[in-house]
Amino acid sequence: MTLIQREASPLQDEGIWKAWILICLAESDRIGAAPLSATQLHVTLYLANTLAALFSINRVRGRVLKRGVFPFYPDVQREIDRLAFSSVLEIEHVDFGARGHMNAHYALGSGGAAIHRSLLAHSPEAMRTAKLFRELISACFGRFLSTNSAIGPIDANYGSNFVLEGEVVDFSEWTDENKNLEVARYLIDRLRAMRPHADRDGVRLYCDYLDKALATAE
Amino acid sequence: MSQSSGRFGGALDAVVEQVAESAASSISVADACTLESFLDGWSRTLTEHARYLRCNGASLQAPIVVAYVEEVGEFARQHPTWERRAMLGASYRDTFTGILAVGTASVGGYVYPQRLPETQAIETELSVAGLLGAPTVALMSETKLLIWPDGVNGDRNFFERDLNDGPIVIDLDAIDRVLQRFYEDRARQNTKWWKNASLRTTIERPEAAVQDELWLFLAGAFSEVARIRKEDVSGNGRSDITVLPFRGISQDQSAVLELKTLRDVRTPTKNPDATPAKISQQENIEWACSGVQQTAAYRDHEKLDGAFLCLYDFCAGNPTVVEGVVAPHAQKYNVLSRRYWITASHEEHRQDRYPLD
Repeated sequence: MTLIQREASPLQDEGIWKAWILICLAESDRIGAAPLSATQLHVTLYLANTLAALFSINRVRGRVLKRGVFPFYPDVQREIDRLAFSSVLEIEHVDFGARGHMNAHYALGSGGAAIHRSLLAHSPEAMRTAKLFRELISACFGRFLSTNSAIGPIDANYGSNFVLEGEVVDFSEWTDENKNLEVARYLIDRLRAMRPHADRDGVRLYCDYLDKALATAE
Repeated sequence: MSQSSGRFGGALDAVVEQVAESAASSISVADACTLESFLDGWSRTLTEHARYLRCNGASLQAPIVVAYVEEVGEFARQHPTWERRAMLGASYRDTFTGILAVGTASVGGYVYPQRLPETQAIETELSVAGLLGAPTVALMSETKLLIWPDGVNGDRNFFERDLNDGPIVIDLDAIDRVLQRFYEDRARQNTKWWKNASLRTTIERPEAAVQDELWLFLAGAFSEVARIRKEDVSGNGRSDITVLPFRGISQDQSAVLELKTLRDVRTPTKNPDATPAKISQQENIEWACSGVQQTAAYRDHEKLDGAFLCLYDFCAGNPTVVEGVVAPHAQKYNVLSRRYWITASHEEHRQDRYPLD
């Protein structure tokens, strides 16, 4: 299936999104980073999509609506909540904000761990995806994502001023616009003398960049 | 929202360059959440914390202990009084004194709810939490770091790292000296790598055991100035250990280490009572010589400064034949070949070191 066909297939995307959400929460649980707030979860899913190629994984979606200071997928939120209401995930607590805004914090639910194990046992792609999330969560949490999810302004894709608020950030590879990946690959090349691993160090270096850029922007 | 579009879309060019200039020391030694990654990360954090204390003329008031568990979430469910600390270890300036923590990554984890003043209380809580067999890193004072690779009650002895502010030299001579020290301190023994010393059968995967232990030893010696990695992919193979300095000092030298074990017999795997099959001297020679080719190829492929062939010799009688055959090949390809004899008994050790002519 080509990328275009897959992006046009919402049913399959739902399944893949659910798998990614589950893997993300399971890896967060393993590291001790769970529960994740909805914001943290969306940012992690977005970063995983932009850096998936480093782990030879097909990203689920190469687009996100630019609205606010962090990437958010409204349709994926529906899948997250479906998983929570079917006990695959659980909502550990909810922060209520101003004007009816709320931010739920998700953890692995009673049914989630077994599904996650089964998923990994039967799919090499799921194993690679788990590895990607493990690197990503290790690199983000304990650093910027514990305290600041507002990566939008300094993220290479999302922060580009060629994309205006309310427009779609498109980092699909055929348009050669995945700037996050370009930053990761540039840093890998610059550190070639240290023989970096293109996959794991690519993820870590991009997160290093986000961490420092957020500190600079504050 | 403040936005920019430089070379890389919205990324801040100056910060990208800053990362490129400073990130050499953070290049990974292993995948996230592996034991190697955990030990490397926490050893560095605690070493930096110790240096920070020394710089400020402070002393560590109580040990800092961090244990590795594979599933931190599961541990937290079983120990609900332990507190989540998402940013633990993110800064070496934190107040760590008296902390007992568990983690799987180099940052974040769960901590015991009270600070513990001394080792007896720590041991008690490690025992209560079922962590006596968990790999553990501990900063005991502002000058001493200990690592228990199998837990404080594990089979292997702890590794001790003296922390001081003296210069660390890393070149081929220094690596050679550390290899010799490893042999004297850790490898020349007659228990842990033998399955049945009297039959000269080793444990099933002796090279892997030597590699694990040597990696820890080298990391202890050099991790402040170099990345020590196991099983790095190189060309069509994997190098056993690589030493890659990151300071950018011209005197620093990198190296690849190929480890080979020489044995008299193969260890029976399916039937432990079976008679061990003999390994001929010729087989050992061929095995050792293949190591010369491997390590030279890895060095040249990765453009490293030096290549070591480390032969850990479990054969009876401390035979020098293999060494003699390997030497000209090693010389031809500029490989530093070293043989370390592993004694099978105290008597062997004494006869070797204190001969009566």
